[in-house]
Amino acid sequence: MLKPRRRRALDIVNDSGRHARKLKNETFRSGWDEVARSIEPLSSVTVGAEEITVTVDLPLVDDKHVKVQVHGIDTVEVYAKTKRTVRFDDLGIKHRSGEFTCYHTLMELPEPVDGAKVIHHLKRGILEIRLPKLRQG
Amino acid sequence: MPLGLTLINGLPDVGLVGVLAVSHLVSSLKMEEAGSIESELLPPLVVLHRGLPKSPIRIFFKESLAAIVSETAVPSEAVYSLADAIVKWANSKKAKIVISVGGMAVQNRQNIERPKVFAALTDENLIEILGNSAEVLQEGYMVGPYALILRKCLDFKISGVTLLAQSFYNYPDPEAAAAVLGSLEKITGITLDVSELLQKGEEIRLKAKDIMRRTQEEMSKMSKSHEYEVPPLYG
Repeated sequence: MLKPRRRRALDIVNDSGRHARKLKNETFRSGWDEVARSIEPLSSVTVGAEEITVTVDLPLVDDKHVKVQVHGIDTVEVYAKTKRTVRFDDLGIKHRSGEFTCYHTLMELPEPVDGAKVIHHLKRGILEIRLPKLRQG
Repeated sequence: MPLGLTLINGLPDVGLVGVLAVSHLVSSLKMEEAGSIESELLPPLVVLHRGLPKSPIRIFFKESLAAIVSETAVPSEAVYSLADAIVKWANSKKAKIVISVGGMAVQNRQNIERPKVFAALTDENLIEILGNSAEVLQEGYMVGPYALILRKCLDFKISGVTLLAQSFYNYPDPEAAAAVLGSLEKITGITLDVSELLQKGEEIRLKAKDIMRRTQEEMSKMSKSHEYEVPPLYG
């Protein structure tokens, strides 16, 4: 008989964190973090045969201000400072005051990747991150 | 509003190309608001402009030109009735031609300097009007409101053209909007300065982020990815 696998405490904490982030994103769709003065960018993940490609829409960002970090084997974090402080007022939003100075997103990947071989570049304001799949065995 | 008009549609779709292009057209030509499209299938919302509540899908006009633009993602369940309402309204106004503008997702969009524009037509005779403004789509699928508008135009025997510029799938694409307006200019003779779309592209993308996110959700419900597939039969 198969025994249910006992989950490690870290897995449970990670799952709770993911659930909280998902809930926050569902509730506040603009993805604005008032404390960090950051906003969540649009992004997408494509799975290829050899690698996973992540793209992130980063208007008002210079290449040199983009940081990409891979955590473990299945999470990628993107932080990018905007060229200037963007106020909601600048975007025509008057009923809510606030501003942001960077983009921040944490993405779970559908398959494990080799974080040591990640490459990325910004073109036409779109960040492309290429993550080779982790070869096991 | 005069009869025999040209109707231009800008509905949220791939890269929000239609919305960005037709919004630019409406503001550049200072078109007047003439009406709106209401449906219980649309989200219960109004858009505030200068403090006044507006319907999210509005009709604008100037002389013999009318434009429909939506400021909200069209729910997949509303697509049929919206397409039906648009073409019936165009028919009631004896529209000469219905032109829908939008985007066509391409994977290598980042490497494309000048997006190409493709066209789907209800009638072969329209190829002449099209000239060199766009390349006619020969085979493939179209999914979403523009596909239904084209079909309904056929039913009502109204000339229908859909102009699709190469664009990002789920990121707002003002450059593609500028490209599609270039083709529209060649077909209709409407001259527009698209420099604002290009120069303020980054701000426009940022501003359109939330509607793009909602549009993407609706596109996946409509099986928009079908557009990448090849039809099995010959015409």
